Amino acid sequence: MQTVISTKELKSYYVLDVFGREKVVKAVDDINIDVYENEIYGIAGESGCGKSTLLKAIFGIIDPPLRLIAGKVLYFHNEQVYDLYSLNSDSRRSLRWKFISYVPQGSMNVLNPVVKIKETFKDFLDSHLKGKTKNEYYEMAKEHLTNLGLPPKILEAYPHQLSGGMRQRVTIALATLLNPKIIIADEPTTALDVVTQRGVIQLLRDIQSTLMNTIVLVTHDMGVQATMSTRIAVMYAGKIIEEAPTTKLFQDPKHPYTRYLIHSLPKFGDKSKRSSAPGSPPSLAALPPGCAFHPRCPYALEKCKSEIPALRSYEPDHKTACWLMEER
Amino acid sequence: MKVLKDLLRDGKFAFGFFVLIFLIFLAFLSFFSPYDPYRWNVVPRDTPPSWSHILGTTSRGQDVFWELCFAVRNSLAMSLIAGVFSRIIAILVGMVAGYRGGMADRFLMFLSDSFLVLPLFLIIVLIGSMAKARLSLVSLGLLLGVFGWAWDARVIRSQVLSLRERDFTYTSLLSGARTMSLIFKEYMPFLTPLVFATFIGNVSWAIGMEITLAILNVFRIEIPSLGTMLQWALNYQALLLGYWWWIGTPVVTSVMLFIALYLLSISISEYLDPRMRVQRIGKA
Amino acid sequence: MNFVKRYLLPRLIIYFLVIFIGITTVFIIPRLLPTDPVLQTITRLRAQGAYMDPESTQRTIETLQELFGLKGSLSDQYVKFWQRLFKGDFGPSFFQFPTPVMTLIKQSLPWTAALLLTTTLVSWLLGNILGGFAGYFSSRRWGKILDYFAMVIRPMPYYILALGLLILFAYVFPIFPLGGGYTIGMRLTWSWNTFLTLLRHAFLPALSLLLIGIFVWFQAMKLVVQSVKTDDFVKYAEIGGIKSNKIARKYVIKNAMLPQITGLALSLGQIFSGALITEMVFSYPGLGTLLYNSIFTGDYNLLMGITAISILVVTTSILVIDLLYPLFDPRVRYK
Repeated sequence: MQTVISTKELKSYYVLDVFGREKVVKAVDDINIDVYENEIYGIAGESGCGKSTLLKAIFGIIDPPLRLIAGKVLYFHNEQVYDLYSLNSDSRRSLRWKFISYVPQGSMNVLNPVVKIKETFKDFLDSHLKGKTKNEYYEMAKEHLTNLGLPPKILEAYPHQLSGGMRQRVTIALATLLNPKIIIADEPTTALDVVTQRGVIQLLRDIQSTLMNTIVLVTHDMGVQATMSTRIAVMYAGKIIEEAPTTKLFQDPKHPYTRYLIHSLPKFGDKSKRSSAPGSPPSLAALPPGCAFHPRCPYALEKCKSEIPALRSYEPDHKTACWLMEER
Repeated sequence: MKVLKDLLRDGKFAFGFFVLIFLIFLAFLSFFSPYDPYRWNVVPRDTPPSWSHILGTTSRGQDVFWELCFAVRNSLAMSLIAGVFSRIIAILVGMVAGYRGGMADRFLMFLSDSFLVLPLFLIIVLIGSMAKARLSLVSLGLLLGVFGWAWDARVIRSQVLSLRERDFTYTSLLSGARTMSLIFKEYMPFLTPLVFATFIGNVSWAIGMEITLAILNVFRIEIPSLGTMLQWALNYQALLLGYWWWIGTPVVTSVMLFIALYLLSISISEYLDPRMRVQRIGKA
Repeated sequence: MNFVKRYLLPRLIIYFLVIFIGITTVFIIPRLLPTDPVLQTITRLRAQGAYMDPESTQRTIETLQELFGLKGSLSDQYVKFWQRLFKGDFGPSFFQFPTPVMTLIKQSLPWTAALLLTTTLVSWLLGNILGGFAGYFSSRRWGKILDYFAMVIRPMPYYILALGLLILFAYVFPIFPLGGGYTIGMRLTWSWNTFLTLLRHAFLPALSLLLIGIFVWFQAMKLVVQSVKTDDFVKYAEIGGIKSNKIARKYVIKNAMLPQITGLALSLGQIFSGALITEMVFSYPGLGTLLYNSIFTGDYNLLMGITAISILVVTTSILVIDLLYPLFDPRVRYK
């Protein structure tokens, strides 16, 4: 399998200066992942676990107070390896949308409210392509929407005239405009109603199966993860605690936290009470020592309170970061 | 106290704060003045700054330094009256409009809209020119207060609107708190910083207004204030005659005062807006 | 139709209500104040040495009351006041008796309108564009330099700034005329020369207004941009690799301009107040100077006429801007 993106010991913290006192939020803490061609790689976890920050770091949008502390992000594009953080801003910009693009959260207003949709399409096209007239860009946008099965007349609309679901489809259309190798989707279905969610998921899946590209899907919704992703990484408190192909993860979750996540999903015919992890996720600014999950973990050992477990393969393709695995 | 310490870290705030403290000190000094500010020819006329008269004397035979102390005191007092009075109106209007909503809201906002749209300055000048002889410092303060609340009432109203949607409003209402006591007890802590920031802006506006009115000769010129000091100097052609200490003193003082108040207000609003704070850290 | 009902109608109603309130205020204020303009005038006439027997005093009082619109009961006066207003008649001026107030206003209005409208619009435009770019590219040096300028110029009382400019460029370096709108004794004709003279005289007042105006808008715009800059659609455009100049123009400034349009409307409300001081300092022959003289001489008819006219002009221009607003904001247009 061909790797398209890989992170090496990636650390990215929010460093806030609260009137003289420095406050560090370890949102992405030592993350190593490899994302392959033609897969949907899911990143799951509760809100505030650092998923979105990981996406930002992968995408190369580190704005203060977020800082890159250590590590690398590698892009594999056209037989070449690009070390993202050693590129200058122009070459970074030129990789965007052609190699890697982005679908924002469904709840965000990412379309410029005072111009028509076609203007946004044109802006994206003429920032990455050269030497075409305005009308040629409009034509391209029209064609692209038709290919995705979206009505081309929405190009003439303003964002506020479209429904939330349609706006999200527009952002997906924008993300696929230049046929990128990899699409990063940050909670693309959040804030949409269930019916619309299905449509959006279907669209993403169709795109993936025709383009054979890669989607990195971040969502806290394990149901969506189960239906879409081929491989899932579970994040907790800035670290990846388990990574496995979807079926494996759902059939045989190793980490107690993953088990909670999966068991909180409703199952058809099962009337027993859904249990979720007791307590709430820790603040990333004040992590407990040792394994960050230990205060909520019913199986916590003495060791868990002092030492951080590493992410290791205990079975082929299945990585876990938990001391319980060592004990077995 | 902690807030003040935090704020003083900001150079802008520190500058504004110390200038203001200095001016307040001057205002207090006026109580120990050896001269009566209303009497003429108490000192030799038109002398440049010297040890006995550190800022020189005027063509009216007054000591510029002691005159300045009275002027600062009166201008500050007048603008405080205007600021406090218009704050009271702004808070009441903003709270009632924001909390009650409906007809009360529409009526009060219409009122504040009209105040924003009407050329208030002209109306103030109209009143001033007709009541000139009777306009005391206090009544000028009150007059400016009546006209200075409209914009701030809007700001407070929108803040109340957003507070109303928060949980504690419903909790207190359900637990039987009386509306008015709810508004003052629960909302005031949130509104205080906002009220304070608009207060500074309003004080600065009132001082500027007083200067303008004095220069237009629609304020009683015998009352010492920053505006009348400037007006006397202009009247006696201090500029042409080269009495720079006479005209320079009120000009420099008021420019410093305005800059100080302005820096205070931006520093405080930056402090209040966490988003701005993060950006400031980001740049550092 | 919906647009008319939701947008146009409420604004028209407010427009007329505000005019009504404003004009009524102008009517009430002089009557509320403890001073009696008629008595004041009589006192002044006496002080000037005019001898009057009781009978002629009574006659004078009546004439004056007639001229001031102070005859009859309060409601009669009020109705009369509106009637005169509709006819555009504010009575005669007292100190240029018997020239009607309206004639004087008509002479001065073009000067003020030309100077103030131009500078207000130009400073609005320039200030917003500069503030927009400086706000978006906040780490660039030129933006910071402008920021320091703004910090010093903005809080300065306008009067002092204007005076400073006049001293510097008319006394110390006599590049520009000391005042006036044109050279004394000159005849205004349609020629290049006239135009240049007018421009030379308008330069300093315009400069003072522009300096203050530009920096006021500069800072207001910077504040708006600070918040627009963090909006989702701007972040998204940045992520999408759209060129930063384009983001500044089409995404940030275009959106941040919207609240500034309302701001422009409100600032038009200050035009006449601005004129008063500008024209006084630079002795420019506009409405401000007229107003200044009327204040000094206690010419109430003139004072009320100018205030009433300015209320009309200001509210109307705000209405016009309000009605144009949907052109810039599609969200209002298509509700």
